[in-house]
Amino acid sequence: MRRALPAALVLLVLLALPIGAGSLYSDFYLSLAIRVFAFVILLLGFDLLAGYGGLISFGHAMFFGTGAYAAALTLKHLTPSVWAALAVAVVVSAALALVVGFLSIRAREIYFVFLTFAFAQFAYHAVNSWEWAGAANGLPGIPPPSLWIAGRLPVDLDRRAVFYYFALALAGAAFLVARRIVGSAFGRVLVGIRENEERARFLGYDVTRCLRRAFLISGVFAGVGGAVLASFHGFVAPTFYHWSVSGEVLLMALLGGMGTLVGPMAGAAFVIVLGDILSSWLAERWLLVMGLIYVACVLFSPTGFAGIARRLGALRDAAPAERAP
Amino acid sequence: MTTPALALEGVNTFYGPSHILFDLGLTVGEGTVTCLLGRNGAGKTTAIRTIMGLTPPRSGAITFRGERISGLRPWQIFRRGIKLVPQGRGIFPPLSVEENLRLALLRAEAPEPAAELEKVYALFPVLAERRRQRGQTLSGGELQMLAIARALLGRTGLILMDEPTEGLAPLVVRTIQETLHRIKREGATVLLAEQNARMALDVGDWHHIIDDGRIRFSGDSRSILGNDEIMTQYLGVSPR
Repeated sequence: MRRALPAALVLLVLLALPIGAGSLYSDFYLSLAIRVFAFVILLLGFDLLAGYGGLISFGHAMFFGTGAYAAALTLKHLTPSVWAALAVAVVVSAALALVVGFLSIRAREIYFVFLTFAFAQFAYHAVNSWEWAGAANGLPGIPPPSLWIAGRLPVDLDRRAVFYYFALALAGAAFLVARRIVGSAFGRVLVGIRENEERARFLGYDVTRCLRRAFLISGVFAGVGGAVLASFHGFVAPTFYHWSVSGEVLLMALLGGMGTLVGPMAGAAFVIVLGDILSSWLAERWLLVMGLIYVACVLFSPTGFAGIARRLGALRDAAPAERAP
Repeated sequence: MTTPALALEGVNTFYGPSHILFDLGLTVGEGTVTCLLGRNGAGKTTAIRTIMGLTPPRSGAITFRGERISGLRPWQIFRRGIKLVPQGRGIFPPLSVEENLRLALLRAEAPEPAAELEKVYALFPVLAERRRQRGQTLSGGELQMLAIARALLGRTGLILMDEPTEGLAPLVVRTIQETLHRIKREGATVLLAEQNARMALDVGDWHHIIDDGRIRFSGDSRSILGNDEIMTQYLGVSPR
C-alpha cells in the first residue's frame, strides 16, 4: 500500500500529461518524456547487469545505437511497422550482445569496463564510416512508424501524444519484465554472483554463462530503448553510439541507486528533465551544476535516490516507536 | 577402511609461485566422516579448495567414486554431488535464509524441493523461525547452520566442511558436533577440515594429519589419541 500509492500517482500524472500539452504547456515536454521512456528501458537493462549482476558496462551506447539503427533501417527500407522495427532491433542487439558478452565476460572489474568501452568505440567509429548507414551524417528521413493492432487498425504514431502513450506502454512493459527477472530464480542467482562469484560457483552455477545471459538481456533492453528513440525522432546519428551516452547511463544509474530498478528509472528522468531545465537557464554551464550534483550524490548518498528513500522510510518507521511510552 | 568415495593422489597445489600442497594423498571412505587435522596454515583449506576446484591442482589426480574430477570446474564438481561448507560460512548476506537455501537447491537436483527445505528446517528449527530474515542479521551459529543446511539439500555424495566450528561459542560448537553425529548416522560422507582436534576425534572415523602441505599421519581416533607425539606436535593438544 505504501508503495502502491506513489506508484499510482506517478502513473496517473504520466497518463494525464498529454492532456494539457499544446494548451497548458508546450508539447515539447511530451518529446522530453518520450526521451525519458527510451532511457528508462535502457537503464532497466543496465541495472539488471550492473546493479544485480555486478558488472559495470561502459559500452551500453553500442546496444542503444544498434537498436536505433536497426529500427531506423527497417522503417526506412522494409516496412513502416513499429513492431517489425522493434523485432529487428531486438534480434540485432541480441546478436551483438551475444558476441560482445562472449568476449568481454572473461574479464572483470576495470578490465570488463575497458573491454565494453573498447567495443563501443569500435562500433562508434564503424558506424561513422559506413556509407550505407549514412556515415557521420546519420540517417535522416525515417518515415513515421505505424502501429497495427490485430492486423487491421493502423494507428499513426506520427502524432506526438500517440507515440507518447506507445513509449509509456513499452517502458511499463520493460519494467514489468525486469521486475519479473529480478524476482525469479535467475535474479537471485545474479545477486548471488554479485555478492560473491566463488560462492555461486561452488553452489553449482556456471557463473560465466549466467553473466552472459544477463549481458544478452541487458543488451536487448538497451536496443529496444534505442529503437524507441530512433522511431520517434525519425533520425539516427552516430552520436547514439558515443561514449558519453554510456557515461550518462552510468551516472543516471548511480544517481538513482543501482540494484533497485526504480532508482535508475528515477535517475534517467531526473538527469534528462533537470538537464533540459538547467541548459535553458545556464546554457553550456549546466554541466557544471550536474557535475556538482553527481559529486554530492557520491559523497553523501552513494546508494542514490533509492538509498535516500530507504533512509527516509526507516526514519518514518522509527518515529512512532520513539514516541511510544 | 571402507571403499574410498574420494581419493587424492600426488596432488600439488600452488598459489602463484608458492607451493602449498606437496604430493598430497588421502582417501575418504564412503559413508564415513574423515577429518583433515592440522594447525593454522597447514594446508587444510587449500586441500578443500583443491578438491572443490576453486584452486585447481597443478599436478596429481583427484577421483570421486572412480571418476576423475581434477580439472573440472567447481560447478561441474558440485553437480557430481560434492558440496562445500566453506570457511567463514559463505552465505549471501543480502538474501533471506530461504532465498539462500533456494539458491543452493536450484542446482542440487532435488526432485521435491519443498520436501528438501522441510528436511533441513526439521534439522535446524532455528532456520525455519528465521526463514524470512536476511543472512546478514544471523548470529555466527545460525550462519553455520545455514551453511551446513545448504550442503544437505538435494543429491549429496560428499560434504567438504572447512572449519565449521571456527569462531563459535562452545555451546554452538556442541550443536554443530551433534549435527555432525546426526549427519553421520544418516550415512553421509564427510571430509572435515578442523583445528578443533577434540571435536574432530569425537566425530571422525578416520583422520589425516596435515602439516606444511604434506600428510604426516593417517589413522583412526584411537591411534591418534594414543600417540602423544602427534597430539602435541601437530595438533597442539596436550595428551590426557
